[in-house]
Amino acid sequence: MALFIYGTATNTGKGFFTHQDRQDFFLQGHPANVWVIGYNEKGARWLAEKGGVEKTKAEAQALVDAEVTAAQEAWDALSDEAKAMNDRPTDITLP
Amino acid sequence: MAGYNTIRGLRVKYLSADPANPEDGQVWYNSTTGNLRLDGIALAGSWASGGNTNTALGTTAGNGSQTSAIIMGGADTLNNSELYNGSAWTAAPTLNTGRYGAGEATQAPQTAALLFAGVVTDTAKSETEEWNGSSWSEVNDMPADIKQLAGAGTQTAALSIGGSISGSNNAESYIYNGTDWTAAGNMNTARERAAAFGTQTAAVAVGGSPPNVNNVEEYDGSAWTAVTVYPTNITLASAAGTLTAGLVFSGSIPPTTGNTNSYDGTNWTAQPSMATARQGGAGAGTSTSALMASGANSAGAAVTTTEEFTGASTQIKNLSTS
Repeated sequence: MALFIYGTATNTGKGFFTHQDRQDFFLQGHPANVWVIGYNEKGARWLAEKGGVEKTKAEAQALVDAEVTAAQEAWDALSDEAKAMNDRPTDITLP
Repeated sequence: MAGYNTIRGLRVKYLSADPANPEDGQVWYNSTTGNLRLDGIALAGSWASGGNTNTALGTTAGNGSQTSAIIMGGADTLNNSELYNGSAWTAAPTLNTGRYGAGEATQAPQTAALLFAGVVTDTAKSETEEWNGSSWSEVNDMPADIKQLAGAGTQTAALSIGGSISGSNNAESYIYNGTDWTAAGNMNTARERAAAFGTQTAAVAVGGSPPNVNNVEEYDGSAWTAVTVYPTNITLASAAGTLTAGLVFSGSIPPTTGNTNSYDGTNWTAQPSMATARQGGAGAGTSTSALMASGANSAGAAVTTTEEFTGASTQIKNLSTS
């Protein structure tokens, strides 16, 4: 049985996810507006109500990978001094 | 089936309204609504989304409360400031010196902020600015040009913590009395990009880099003391609260994280994580009502999103009799 729903949705600000939502289902945001949502009725309803687009796990992972890879390439091109200002973006494996 | 009075030795009170100050575990019947009521249902703490900032500020600074906050500066060398009313951000007058990696008076209200030192186009600065609720004014500079420092206290009783001076981790702290800066003692571990919370005489510095560390130190107004380490190495985290009721959230371990931990003056306790991992944002508020604004996400991109933390609580619920 699936544990998560994967999708994209734009965080519109206040009310996008509420304290009650956080009590009702797992929710984790990632680069590329990717959201990992607990697989239950309330989680599925939340994604639909937010105008989200459901993705397969592979599709969601690809979106995150593309953003992280671009960020890693940008970091690799920095000077040593600039690199010292921030950690290199790390790969993200969606749950 | 045993009745409530048999189990507890008490009868369920028959009340026309919920009692004003019920005790955890107290049960009563509300005759107006027709519901059997119980106080003490635990509600876990959580982070919810707040209003989005107008500008993605990346590494920024801030203070105030969850419903009345200010953020100022950002990467790279932004002079923006914005005000929050608990639901929406409004652009405010700009800083005289745009910067990021600055220190702030974390206990100051929205109407009396203080921003000091920081980075202007890769160059450390010492400029200090005060916000009076309507505009920013240049005041006396810090004694040194400092990058990526932390801060605590208020506009008239502030504390600067660590940072980087001439490319090296700095252990020094300085106090500000509303007019002048003076030396205030060295931390045991020099670091920049630490998180800090508390007052000028009861402050906490958490983590920092490079390299990323888990060291925590408390300041009592005269000296720094190493205390219980943070659960992970952490840099560019944000914080809220006081020495005996603090909250640290986000940062880079690495990876970038939304981890949240509370501090009671002795121990760290894991709290529910933010929905979205980030680093370098502005923290404000208290340990049970905190705000995290802007910062950079796991791919290093500056974000406009805000999250609001509400600590665990108990509440009154209807009991089902079916």
